[in-house]
Amino acid sequence: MSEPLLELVDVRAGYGSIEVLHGVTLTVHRGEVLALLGPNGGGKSTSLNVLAGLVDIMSGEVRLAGRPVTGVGADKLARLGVCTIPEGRGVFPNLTVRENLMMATHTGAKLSDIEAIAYERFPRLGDRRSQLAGTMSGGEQQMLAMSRALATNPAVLLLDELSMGLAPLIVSSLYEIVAQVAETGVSVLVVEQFARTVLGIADRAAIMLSGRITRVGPPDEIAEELSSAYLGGKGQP
Amino acid sequence: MQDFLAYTVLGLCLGSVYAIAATGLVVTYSTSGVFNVAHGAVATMSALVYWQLRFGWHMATPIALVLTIVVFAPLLGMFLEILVMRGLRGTSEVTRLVTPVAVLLAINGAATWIWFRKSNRALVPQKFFGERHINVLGQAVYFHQIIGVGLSVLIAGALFVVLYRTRLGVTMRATVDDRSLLMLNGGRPDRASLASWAIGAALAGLAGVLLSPQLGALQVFALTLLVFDAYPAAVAGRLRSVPLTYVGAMVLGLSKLYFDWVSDAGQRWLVLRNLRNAIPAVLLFVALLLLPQDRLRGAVVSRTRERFKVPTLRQAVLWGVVLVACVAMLQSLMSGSAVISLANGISLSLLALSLVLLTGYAGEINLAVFTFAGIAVIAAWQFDVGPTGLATKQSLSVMAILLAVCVCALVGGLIALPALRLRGLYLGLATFAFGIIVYQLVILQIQPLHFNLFGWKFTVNLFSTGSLTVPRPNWFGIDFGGQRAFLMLMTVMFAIIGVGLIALRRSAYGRMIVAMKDSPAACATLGLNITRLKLGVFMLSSAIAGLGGLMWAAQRRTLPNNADFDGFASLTLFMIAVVGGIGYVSGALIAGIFLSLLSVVMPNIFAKLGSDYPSLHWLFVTVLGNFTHYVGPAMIGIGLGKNPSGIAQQVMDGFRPLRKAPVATAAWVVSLAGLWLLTWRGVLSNWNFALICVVSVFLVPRLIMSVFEARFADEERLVAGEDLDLIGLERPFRASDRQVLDTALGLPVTGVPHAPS
Repeated sequence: MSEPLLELVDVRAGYGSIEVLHGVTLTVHRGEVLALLGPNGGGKSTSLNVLAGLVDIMSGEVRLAGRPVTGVGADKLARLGVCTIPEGRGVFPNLTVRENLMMATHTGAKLSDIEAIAYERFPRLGDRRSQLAGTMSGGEQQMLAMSRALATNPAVLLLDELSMGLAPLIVSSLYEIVAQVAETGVSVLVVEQFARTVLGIADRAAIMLSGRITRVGPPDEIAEELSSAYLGGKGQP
Repeated sequence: MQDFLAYTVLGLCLGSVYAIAATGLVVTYSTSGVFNVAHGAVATMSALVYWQLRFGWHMATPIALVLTIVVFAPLLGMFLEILVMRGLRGTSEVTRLVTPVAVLLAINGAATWIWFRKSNRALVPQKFFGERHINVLGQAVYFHQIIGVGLSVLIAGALFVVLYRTRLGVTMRATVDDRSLLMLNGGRPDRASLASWAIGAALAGLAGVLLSPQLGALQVFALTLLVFDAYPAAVAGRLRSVPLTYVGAMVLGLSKLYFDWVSDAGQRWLVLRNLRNAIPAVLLFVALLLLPQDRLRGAVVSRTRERFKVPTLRQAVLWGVVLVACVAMLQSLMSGSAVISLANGISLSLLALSLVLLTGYAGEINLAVFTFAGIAVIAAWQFDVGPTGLATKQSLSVMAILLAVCVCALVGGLIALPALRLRGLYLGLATFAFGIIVYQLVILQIQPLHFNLFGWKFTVNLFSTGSLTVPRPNWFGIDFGGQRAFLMLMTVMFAIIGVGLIALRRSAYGRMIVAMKDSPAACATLGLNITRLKLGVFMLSSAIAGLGGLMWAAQRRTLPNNADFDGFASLTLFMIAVVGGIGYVSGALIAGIFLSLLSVVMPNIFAKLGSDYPSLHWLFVTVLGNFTHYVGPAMIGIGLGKNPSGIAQQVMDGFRPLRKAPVATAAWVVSLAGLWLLTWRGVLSNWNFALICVVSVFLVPRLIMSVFEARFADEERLVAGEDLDLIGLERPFRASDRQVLDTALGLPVTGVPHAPS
């Protein structure tokens, strides 16, 4: 297995006085697609937000390419190559498509390059470059968010519930793009509630319950254990 | 025709300056999401700094301008953003409205302290290029005005380019859209917010400098109100559009000048003499009602940091009795002046109770509480002692109070009707505008109003002599004219209304009100009649405000027409009520007492200390006394972002350990009662009693907590069978929980990996 690129080491984190992650250890290796699965309220999105730098941790450590990045802000992590597409589209609704793409230039990429890649991959965005992102369909918004991941050449891609509210056909095409991105050597961590979709492209998968990682393994093994985890067969006192 | 054109030119000149002020507001709001109520205060402070540099220290105009507009104002804006506004993330709209109000009062307080504390100095600013002008259609248009027009056009163009064509501008707008997402894009929202506040403050500063010569001599609150006049223009632009804001500003400027033209500068119709000053408020009210506002369409459930617990009815009654008993015991020890201060505080608390219902429970905003006080006073006075022939009594009758309360409820309903679709900030602005309109057209009305209703001719004098004397009640043979008796009457009233409010909050109606606050859309889907609910809450709240206002006026006895009706007092009370804890009846009590304490009692104490210790006069009077008087109330409002649930919540949290140690608590209460008895008998001095009370209030809960800590911790330990999903939610996660959790999840138990929280 290749070297670890992004790591959580015994991380405790939460919101205010509420602790959600109770000692989570998780590693994303270079070039792999890791699917983080589990039922609602297990701490998946919080784990992803910790990795993205959006949630401060109470104890433990976060590492990027072996270097500690605990406490480093989301903006700096983004400039270091961690690209996150958060739950619920990840676009600025009151900015136009072009202005949304302009925001990706904070990572150092040129607007002309970003536009070229985005419009080539998703021609529909090119037609709507002056349209407010909030007025586009869910699929188009997710395309816009994904185009940022394609155009800024990240080292790590963190995806939170990419499929939420989208038609199955659109979800499949988006995950095809994720697989293509991963093939270029980008490490991908995908958080999904609907596991079957993502296990097809994952190299490994992990199950998260009650703020703890309960199982990490190959996708086919995890797939067998999923139903019991979701239905509370394991993990309940 | 020539006059019309000439006034049009002057109106456009005035509108240009309003445009600068309003676009500053739009920039701040559209790039930080905060409606900067303190915009006028920043303008005032900048105008004073400019005056100091240019006319106080005789610097050259360009240098003074650069230092004010390019250095001072942006630094002030950035200072506010870093120290105050960043703390507002995740707070409700009420908190985000109140904190800038606190900033406004703090800046104005500081300005008064710095420039006007000794006497009413006349700081007279001059126009750029003095009186030099050109004649346009027979009217003098000063170079100062031409500069204003040029700058406003330049600024409008520059802002459009910055906000829509540069990465900085787009980043500033993206910050409001989704701050976290911007960070995930590698953007730095803090820097963008800093830039927007610097630009907004610079524009406020420029507007302040340009508007200040209109006043003749600079006055802090008058200049702030002058910048308030630009608000309708910003609302016309829906707080987002620079071009629409510009149009709104021109309409505003033209309206004022056309009124001057048709009314012969207010001399033609004396009854409408103050309409010119009310025009911006009228336009603001109309703009809020007529323009579509995208923020109003979708009401969503938002997650905020404010949390208000609801006491049981039994607890409410108990605390009501405790309050009355405590005030009765305390007033028996207090001097006459101290009783007056306490009574002032309780009267303000009564007024603040209306906000608990309206804002704390229903989430609606009323920034004109004192206006309802004024309306109640006028109604009761006309009925009881006014020269209308209805009655001439020497005491406030029950009928007069009932009439005043009904009139207030009716007016509240009339205001609520057009404002039904407004929420949050827009509703706040609408009520503020209503307050200004009533102040200018009714309360400042010194002309007698003659009416002829179907042949019945009568005259109503409002504040024709400039003040009203409001008598105190004399009910059922009990004379409440004395200060101590009136204090007890107000305290009992507060307790009864407070218990009533809590009963209402716990009822089905109360749950509907809170549901309306959380999500009107969800309420509508459940079949609740939002219109009726909102109307009912407004009317009830206005009635309470009327009753409180009447008691407040009777407490003061003589009420001048410039007493607290100009909008700032309402803003202050609203702010302090939120600081006290807007969702709690106790918050209203804290608000009234605090306001009285900070504005009167503390400065008096420092003045006494200053006279007792002349060598430390500078410390007690110049520094502490002035600070407490001018900026004290505002400073506690500025810290609201750290504790948006208010002081009442903090106090309850602080006293929570007492519940778990009832014997120790009872012993403490009995000790205090014993000390009161000793003080009453003269064995202990009042000061010593007060000192012991204050110290014990701070120390006893901590002492109990430290003594019983081990026992409390044991009670909170994880219970076998507890729902795993709730671990860490209902109480702090502990090291021992990890072992239980790992065992339950089938993970190897690796001992205790981290220290307890």
